[in-house]
Amino acid sequence: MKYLNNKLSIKAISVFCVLLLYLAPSYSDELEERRIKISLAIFPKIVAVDQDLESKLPRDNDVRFLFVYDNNKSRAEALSELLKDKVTNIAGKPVRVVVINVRDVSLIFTERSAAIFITERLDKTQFDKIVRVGVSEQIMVFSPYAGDVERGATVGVAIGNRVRPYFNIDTLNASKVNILKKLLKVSKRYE
Amino acid sequence: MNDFFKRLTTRITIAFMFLVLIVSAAIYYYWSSTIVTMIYNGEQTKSELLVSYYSQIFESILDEKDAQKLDRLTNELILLTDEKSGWPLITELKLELFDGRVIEKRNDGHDKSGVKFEVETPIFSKKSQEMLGTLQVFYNGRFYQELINNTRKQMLWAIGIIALILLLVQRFVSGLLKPLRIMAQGLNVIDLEEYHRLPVPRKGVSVEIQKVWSAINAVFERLKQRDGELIAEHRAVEAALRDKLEAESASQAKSQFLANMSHELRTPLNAIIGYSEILQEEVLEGGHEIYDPDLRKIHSSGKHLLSLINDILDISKIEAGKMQLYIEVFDLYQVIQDALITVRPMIEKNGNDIVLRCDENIGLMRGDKMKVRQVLQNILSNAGKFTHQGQIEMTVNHAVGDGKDWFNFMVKDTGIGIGEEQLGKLFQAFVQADASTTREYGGTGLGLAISQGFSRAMGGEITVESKLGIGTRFNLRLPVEMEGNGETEQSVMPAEKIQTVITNGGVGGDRVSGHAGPASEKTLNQENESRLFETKKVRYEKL
Repeated sequence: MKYLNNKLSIKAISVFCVLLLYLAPSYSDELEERRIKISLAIFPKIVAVDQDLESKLPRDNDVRFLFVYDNNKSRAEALSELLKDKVTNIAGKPVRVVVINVRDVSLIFTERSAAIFITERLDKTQFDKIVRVGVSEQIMVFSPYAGDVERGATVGVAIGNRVRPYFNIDTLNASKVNILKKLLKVSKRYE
Repeated sequence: MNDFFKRLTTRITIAFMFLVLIVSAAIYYYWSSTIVTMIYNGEQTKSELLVSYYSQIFESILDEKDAQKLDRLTNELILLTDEKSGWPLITELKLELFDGRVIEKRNDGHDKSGVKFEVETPIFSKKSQEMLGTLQVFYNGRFYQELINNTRKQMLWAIGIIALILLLVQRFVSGLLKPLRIMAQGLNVIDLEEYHRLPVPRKGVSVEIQKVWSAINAVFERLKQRDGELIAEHRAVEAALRDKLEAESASQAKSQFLANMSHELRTPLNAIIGYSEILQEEVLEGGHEIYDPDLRKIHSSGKHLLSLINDILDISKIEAGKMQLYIEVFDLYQVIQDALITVRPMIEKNGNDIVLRCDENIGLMRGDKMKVRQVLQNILSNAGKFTHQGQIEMTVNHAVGDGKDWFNFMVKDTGIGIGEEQLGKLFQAFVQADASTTREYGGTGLGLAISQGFSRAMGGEITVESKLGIGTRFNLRLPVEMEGNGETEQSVMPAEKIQTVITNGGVGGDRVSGHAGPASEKTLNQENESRLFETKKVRYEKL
């Protein structure tokens, strides 16, 4: 009996540990998912305060966003669909989302884009490449992931008592993106 | 002791004050570094949450472009009030739109804190995503101030309570020490002559302190008791010492008196003895034999009286510590022979045999020749007196002991012996075995006391062993070489050290006296001595 009890206890502990291992990342993923959705709502608003947005529109005058992925294209596409469902235009201009692999992002765009949205966590090389593209094209690189603004992304979100835009001032200055000073004043800044 | 308790109490007080200061400083540090920040952040959070919520509503209304709704919303926001206190949540509101409209409202009638929590948030159009303007809100700082004040009060209360607790602990510790301090004070003022009791402990003093108190009082009682005993003992000792000193003084005076008297007596007595001898010779020469027996009686009585006086003089000198020794080197065998010759008539009178076991060349001795001879004569005559039809054996040998060379004399007789009870009194002056002994054998009881005194003065000792009815054995031990030069005065010879056994009656022998009498007596003796020398040859020849 005692042996059985011990055996059961071990099993229960094992199950608990497995559940913990299984649930812990899923809980983390869930938080990240929420963060991405919040970011997706803020992203077009931040793009909208770009004072030079007009000059970054392609010939068809669409506001073109690049949704960059590395391995998970379907996710990037799902996010683009989500954005398109909620945001149809920015300042009256239609929104167009291009889902693109990070390896396919060229330093010289053949077609103008308004901003880049990172849809999944990128390794340092790829991330730095995207940041360099944003600087050279003078567009914002938006990353919904925590810590990416500190790594060099132009903008992200700071979630505290309230949700605020989070700017990397160095990257912002380097990319020469001209945003409303009023927004910069009420946003969180990384300097 | 009081200083110690004062210092201890002061140290405890200082320690507690220090503790209060430390605790206060810690609380203050915690207050300024944590509590104030926490309260501030809490208020800031509340203000930001409020603004976040309302910014969403503002975005919707601005998209609708309904001015009335916007006015109502701003009024609602500015009129928000805390239900408990009735204070407004927002003291100032400013909606600044990029289209040029500015809506500004105030409600700071209750805010006197001077602290403001400013929150500014962008307002976006939900339709076009464009930024329409900013909403700036000032949250009422009075809540923060109130919280700070309340918390500060609580902190001060806490510090006060802690200080009070520490003060109570300090008082408690001091209270614990107080009985000890009182005891110390009591112990300090105690008059050792009187041994006052400690003051009665107050009520509330712990049982342990009361026990210590009682124990100290008990010690005092015992000390008092012992002191009384010591005082009584001390008085008794003082009395005994006084008596002893008086006795010694009296004894010394007596000895001095006896010495003086003996000397005074001996001078005329020597004249009587001398003249009686002269008269005897003259009577015999003149043919008046009829007077001879009377003259003999006068002569023998005089001699006996002289010997008694000599004994008294000796014992007096010994007891007075004024006996003098005349140290010289002499042939011991010759001295032994002299002593034997002197005592032989008396020994033989009682039908005794005498045996001497001594090497003729036993050697030289350095000491008082006359006293050695007198001691030997005393012991031998003593043996002869108490032995009838028996044997007296004298053995003399040389021995080494205690780092010195010694002459051992053993005089053994087959006489009446001495009982155990009497052995202890044998060397005491004026004491004989019993009264009957004095009657039967005569004597003053001074012989052995004098002998012991002489022996000890010369660095020796007499011991005795005896069995009643079987016999007695005297052992005399004298150093071969006595310390000192020439004439030596034995400074102290306490009377109580002279223990003797049996005293015999007659201790005869010639005496050499260093004392000089008055001039008239001296003349008398000189005349007597000159006539004596004329007859001495005849006496020695007889021997």
